[in-house]
Amino acid sequence: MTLAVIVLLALGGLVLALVAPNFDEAPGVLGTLAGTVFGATLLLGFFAAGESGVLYGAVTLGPLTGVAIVLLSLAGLLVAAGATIRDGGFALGTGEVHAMVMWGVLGGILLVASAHLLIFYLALELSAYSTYVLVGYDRERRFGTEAAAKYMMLGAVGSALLLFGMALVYAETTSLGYAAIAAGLAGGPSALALGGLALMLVGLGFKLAWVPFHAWAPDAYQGAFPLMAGFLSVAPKTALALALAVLLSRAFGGAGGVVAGWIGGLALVSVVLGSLWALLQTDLKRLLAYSTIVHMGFLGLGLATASLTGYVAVGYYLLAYIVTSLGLFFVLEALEARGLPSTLEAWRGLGRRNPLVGVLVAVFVLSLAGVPLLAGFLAKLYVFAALAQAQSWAALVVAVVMVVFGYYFYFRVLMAVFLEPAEDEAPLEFSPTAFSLVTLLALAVVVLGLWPQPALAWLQAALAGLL
Amino acid sequence: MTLILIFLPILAAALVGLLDDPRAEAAKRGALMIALVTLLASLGAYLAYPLASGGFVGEFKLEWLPLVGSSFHVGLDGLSLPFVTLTPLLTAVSVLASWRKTEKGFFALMLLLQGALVGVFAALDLIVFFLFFEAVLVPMYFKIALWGYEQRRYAAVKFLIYSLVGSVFMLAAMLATAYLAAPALGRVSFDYLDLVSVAGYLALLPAAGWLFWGFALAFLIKLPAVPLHTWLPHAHTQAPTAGSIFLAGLLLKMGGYGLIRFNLALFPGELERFANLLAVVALVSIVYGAYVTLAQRDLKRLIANSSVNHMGYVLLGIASMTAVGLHGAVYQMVAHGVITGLMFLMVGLLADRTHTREIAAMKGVYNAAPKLGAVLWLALLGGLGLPGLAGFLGEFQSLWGGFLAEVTRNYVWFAVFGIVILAGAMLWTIQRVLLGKAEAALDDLNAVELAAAAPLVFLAVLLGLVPAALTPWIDAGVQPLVTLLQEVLK
Repeated sequence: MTLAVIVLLALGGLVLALVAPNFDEAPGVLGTLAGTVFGATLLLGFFAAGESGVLYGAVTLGPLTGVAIVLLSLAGLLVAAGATIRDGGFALGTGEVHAMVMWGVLGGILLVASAHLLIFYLALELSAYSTYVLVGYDRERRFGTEAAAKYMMLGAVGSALLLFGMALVYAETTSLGYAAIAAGLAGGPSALALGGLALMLVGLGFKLAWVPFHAWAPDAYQGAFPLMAGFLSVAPKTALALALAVLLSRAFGGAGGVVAGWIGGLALVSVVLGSLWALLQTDLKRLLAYSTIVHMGFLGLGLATASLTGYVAVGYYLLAYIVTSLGLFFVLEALEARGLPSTLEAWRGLGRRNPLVGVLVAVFVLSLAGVPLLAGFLAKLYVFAALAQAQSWAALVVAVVMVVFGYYFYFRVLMAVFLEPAEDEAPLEFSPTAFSLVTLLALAVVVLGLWPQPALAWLQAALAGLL
Repeated sequence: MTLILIFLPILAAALVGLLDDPRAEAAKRGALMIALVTLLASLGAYLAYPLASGGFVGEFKLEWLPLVGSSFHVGLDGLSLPFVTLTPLLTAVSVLASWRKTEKGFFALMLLLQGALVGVFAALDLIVFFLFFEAVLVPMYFKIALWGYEQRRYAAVKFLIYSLVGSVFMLAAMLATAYLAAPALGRVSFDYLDLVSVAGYLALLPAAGWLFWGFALAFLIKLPAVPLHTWLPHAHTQAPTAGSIFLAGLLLKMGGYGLIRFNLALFPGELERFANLLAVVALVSIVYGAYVTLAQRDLKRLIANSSVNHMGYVLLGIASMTAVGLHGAVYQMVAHGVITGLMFLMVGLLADRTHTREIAAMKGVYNAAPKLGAVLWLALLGGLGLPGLAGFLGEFQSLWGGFLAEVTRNYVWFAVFGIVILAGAMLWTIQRVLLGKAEAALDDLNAVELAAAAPLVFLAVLLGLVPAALTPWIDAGVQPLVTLLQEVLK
């Protein structure tokens, strides 16, 4: 099944990229094709969970790979659907967008499934290059080019550091396979290996936008189309978070505890500084970039506990974040397509110009803030529970205090939407496609918040293998 | 049963929000109907409660977050039933008080608030309690921020931030409590009954003091106790009438209820340890609250500040840790919900007519609008604790309970100052606002407004003259806690 998913996504992306120029007039055809592929891989992902073994010593089969396939295919499916929000598609071609998203998803799946550092690196680059292209897609505007340049530059630095770290780990363990590395590090890591692991973590920190390696994120989000920024905020993060969990449990062996400690430190710094910087933002995309940094911080706190509760927290967090974040970025996309810029100022009075959209925005924003009965609350609750279980009281207290700051900057968005007077009070129409898509996501946020058991049980069964 | 009381209003809120109803006629009628139906249902539950055997009725338990050890567990007992019944009643009153509003969102938020508040009082799982405790914030925030008076946004944000600061520490304390209690229970559980059963083990934890304050901070902010009360005058003054009724009548009660339900039941040893401090806080709230009330020029703010005084008695009763004191605390909370709800209702209606809340600008209201004046008169007298009205019994029992306990005895003497000062403030208000010759004509209460006031007037008198309508329920709720207290403290 996993093999089928890999082939489907690779070929699907290839076909889409090749035929894209012929379908400029009818982007819907390619969107349907992309959606079908993602739908198929999503279903296959559930079956892939039943497999076991390792393909060619490089790709692990099993429940965790299944989770990655499902989550990433879901993100891909939603983004493929989201591409329809902009009537007439993107000026540079919509088919290429689908192809890049597909390869990005493929890279993400391989990243999690990898059992070998080389595959890990290649998968990471595949996913990264796809997102470089997507971020730069708005090249007509100055910000678009700037965003892509910054993102790629810092992404390359991150890759280089990662590669160097891998080399050091190789020097110590003379292997790139996870199992052999774990065996090599079993007796406790040497200084050389620790240096290698630290560099690897820094490289991955760049990709996950943990503070202090986050500088590219606000610019990349601001310059990209909201749809692409949305994809950037969920797919690579999902892949990297799961991949880090895999590395911690399968590759780092005796050094896992040390690395988990570092992850916890980076995550806590991200939560604190990200929340503070978010208070200063006036551009919604930049605000969401800092919000992503904070969420990746919370997620990292769950990861750092290296416990079942922590891993389930990470899985559920990712699922909740995919639907919530994409929902909000879709609203941004729909409004940008209508010429409304993504600034807090432009969003003033949105709740009166279109009350239903106002309510949908409120659902997503409140979920990001972590208000109960919505998915975002349970995600944070699980992270906090994992911290309590690990008796990391200091981290728990700092994290809950930062939730208050989070409320403040998320409520600023709601204040603009509902309380502040609009310059232009004219009603704002939403296309039926965009509206139904966003409504669906808002419903998912509510349902996941009220009735999370199926998702939690599935994640718990799949992630138990990490322990 | 309990589920209906919680979720019927929440579902109805969603429906009301979706109605295509520009003038909100259907929305307000629907909201009133839901409030009345749930009121009847909760009244039924109240009357059918087995007073002799006590315990929880209408219990419902559903596995919810098994990995974390939290289940959706709700139930009602003598401690929660009075509040669960008061909630739909005040919703109905608020809907009637807002009969002129033309936004359906206002009524949807009201129903949302009703459901969440019942959830708070019915929750028997810490996480579920937190869930509803937080869920109350969002509709209240929007109610103040969208429909409040001139400084509404400042007041709304202040309310939100204060409440949140308390509740995040409470969440941390809840998680810590559950995980630290796990060795004694053999598993992680957020179930209230499970945790109460190991209160003796919790008392021995070195971190028990921290856990106690994690909970207490949230509840003292909500109550509110001086010096954590500064959000209250703004929120209560700036909120629309219906919002003030909810705030004073129910949101403050979440604080007192939480102190009894969690701080007292889970950490009786810590409560005893800090009883002296809490008694001082209570005393300061009583005296300072009354003193500040005296200085107000804004009629709504005056009533808001008197709540600080009234809630001080609640804290004093709890700090006494005696059966009488606890009983008085609960009685006082219910009485305050009724009387202060009535005060805010009348002042809101008065301010709608005079277009000002300045006391100096009002005169001879009784003369100009006898019905409105009479009800406001009654409410203000209830506020000063006149015997024969509900407030007296609550205050008296709290003070008596305080007198019975060693730790609070000396403070009760000083609390008497609070009574005198507040009585002065209320009487002076009556003199300034109600008496004298009217300068301008005022519309008197219409039928809808009278209907809104009638149940509260009835309850204020009933609970003042017939304590048996409430006392047995409180006994059933408080007595097991007192027994538990004695066991653990031994």
